[in-house]
Amino acid sequence: LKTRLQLDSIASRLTWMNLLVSAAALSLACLAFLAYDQITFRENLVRTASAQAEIVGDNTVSAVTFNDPDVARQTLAALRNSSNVRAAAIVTPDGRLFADFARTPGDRITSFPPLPPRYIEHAWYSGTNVLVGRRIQLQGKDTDTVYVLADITEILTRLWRYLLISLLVLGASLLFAYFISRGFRRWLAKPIERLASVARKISREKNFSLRADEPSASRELRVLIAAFNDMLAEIQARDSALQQMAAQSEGILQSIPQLVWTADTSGQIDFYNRRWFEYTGMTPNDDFNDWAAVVHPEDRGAVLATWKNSFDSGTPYLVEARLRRHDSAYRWHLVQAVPLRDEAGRVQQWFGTSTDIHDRKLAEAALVQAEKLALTGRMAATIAHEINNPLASITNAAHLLGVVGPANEQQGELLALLSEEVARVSHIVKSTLGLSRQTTAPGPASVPELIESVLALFQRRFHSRNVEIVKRYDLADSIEVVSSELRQVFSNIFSNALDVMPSGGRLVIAVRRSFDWSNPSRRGLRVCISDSGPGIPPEYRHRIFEAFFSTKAEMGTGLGLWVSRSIVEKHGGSIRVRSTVSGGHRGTCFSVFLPMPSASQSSSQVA
Amino acid sequence: LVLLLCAATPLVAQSQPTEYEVKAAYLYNFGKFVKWPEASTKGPQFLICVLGEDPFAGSLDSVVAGEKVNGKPAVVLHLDSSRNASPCNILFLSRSEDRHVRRILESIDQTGTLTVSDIPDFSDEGGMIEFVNQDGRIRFKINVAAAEQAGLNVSSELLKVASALKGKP
Repeated sequence: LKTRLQLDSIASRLTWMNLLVSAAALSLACLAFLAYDQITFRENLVRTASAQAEIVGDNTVSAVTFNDPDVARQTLAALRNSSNVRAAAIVTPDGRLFADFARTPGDRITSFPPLPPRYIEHAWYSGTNVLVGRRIQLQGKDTDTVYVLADITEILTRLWRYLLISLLVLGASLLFAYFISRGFRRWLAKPIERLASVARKISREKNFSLRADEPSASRELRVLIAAFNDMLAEIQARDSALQQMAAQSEGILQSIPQLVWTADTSGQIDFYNRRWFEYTGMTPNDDFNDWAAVVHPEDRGAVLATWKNSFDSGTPYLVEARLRRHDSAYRWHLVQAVPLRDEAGRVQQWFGTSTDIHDRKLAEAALVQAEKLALTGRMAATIAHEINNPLASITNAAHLLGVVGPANEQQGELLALLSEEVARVSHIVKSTLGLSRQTTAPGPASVPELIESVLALFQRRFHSRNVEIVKRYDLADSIEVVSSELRQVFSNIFSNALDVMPSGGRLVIAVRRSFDWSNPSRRGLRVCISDSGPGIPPEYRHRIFEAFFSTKAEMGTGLGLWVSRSIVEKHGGSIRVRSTVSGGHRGTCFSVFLPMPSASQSSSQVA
Repeated sequence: LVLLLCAATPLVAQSQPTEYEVKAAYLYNFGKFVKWPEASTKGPQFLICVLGEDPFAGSLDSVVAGEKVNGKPAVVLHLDSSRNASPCNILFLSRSEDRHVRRILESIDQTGTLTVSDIPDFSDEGGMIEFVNQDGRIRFKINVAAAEQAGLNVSSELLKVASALKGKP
């Protein structure tokens, strides 16, 4: 018999409940019967003893009346045949023992409690004995009292026998009840078990479209199952809504141009969006927390400090930093993160974005640059204008002096020097005025003339540093350009050349007909400006046109060449650099290609 | 369990009853063990008669006083002659009548009268109950035939305690 004693299932609990109830009911019934039996049996015993006492009394009344104890003894001796009687005695009303009987000498009755007045019979219980006293009367007069000592050990025998039978019945009933409830528990518990298995299946497979169905279940269980199914429908609806929302959020996160990341409460990154991987070149298999490597070394300290501060205080985080692109180029980003909190205000997650602000930052820088330039130009124009009038007076005066004629040869030499220098000042003023002509509209201009006007501003400085200037202008055609912008390009290149040749050198400026190296069908002109400086180390060469890249430390803005390139590209041209750092031919050559419109091309292309 | 103190204290203090006191009690008690024919019990009283010299010295009167036999008040009558003995239910012949037993028994209409005496061989002479002294105790002999002849039915209980029976088949 395989019995499960565990109480963890409804079925076994039901079984046990049945068994307990059965056992309790049976025990109570047995107890009631036992009590009833004991009482009635005892009564019967007493009644029997009383009847015996009465018979004995009736049969000995004459013996007592006529004082014949022998006859009385004979009568009493007949009680020997009644196995329950152990002893008997006849006592006269004056309390004298008249005759007695004892099965064994030990059973002899030694004391005779008087009957209560008016009682004809009384029983005294003592252990396994009962002493029954009965008053015997003859024609209304007491003649004597008969005492019968009866054995009630039989009642105990009977009790034990009864208990044994009760136990057997109880055991059999429990066994019976057990098998019956086993049958019933299938009927009762099977639907619950099937419901539980459906629930298990749902939680295992996460398939909320499953439904429980138990038409044979009890009414209460059917209500439960209906509620369960309703709950499942609700969960299913929420689940799909949640999935939809998650997909939507995922789509948003993946499609926005920002780099998105999330970090858990310990600050560990647990998510990057696709854009992050595309930008940084990291792969999902890389260590997510190696993000600091992406930050520009110069910004890394500030970024880490800000992040730590924000993380510790749970406050939003905002910092601008350069992030390395997969091609090792750094671009400015606005890196920000906010803590997401639960209802209790505890930080659950950090949500961070990095927005590319590189172009905006460049535009801002360019704007500052342009404003500076405009200011310079306006100042220069003002100064030039103010100088022009006295300069005209000086020129006129010098001319008049020449007309009058010098007093001597020495004065003539001085006058010639004066005229020459005044002409020079006049040229500078004219160039300065040209610089200030802040026109953004393209117009025909000769490139060599443009170069010359810029060079005029640098000539003195080159001269003072012993830089020899070699000019090879093979071409003087006008092309459509924005003169002020091109002047800035050449100004930047000359400025760089001046910086790399502090103590002498050679600057070669060549203008010649050429074509676009990347598209030979495009014709144009090429300006090559070569210096004999130390050259650009190869590791910097591809970066010099990047914004904010400068080798001049505090001195440079890192914008000059970047602005130059954007101006040239605006004109449809290109700018290249060649550089050598070793040997006798070291130096740097900037090559600017500007397209010239062919006969069929309109000039609007330049704008 | 209530066993009261022994009530059967020996009544030594009480004086031993005299022979005639016992006989008086027996005489009275015989009435309870004998059944009389209806005709002889029509009287309003149960008559216990003593013929001859009264040996009871008043003890019989004191035993009978206020008692009833078969539902009728018992009365003691002292007779001088057997002529008036017919209505008696119990007739005790005193020893003084020793010599006239046969004559008396024959003279009275024995029907309905229980004759008792302590005269020796009373039962042999036709008396019904004869007191005898046996080992210092008062016993009695019963002449069943005589009783039956008189229409009296002696209870088996009484026969059981009789020391001897006569005329019993």
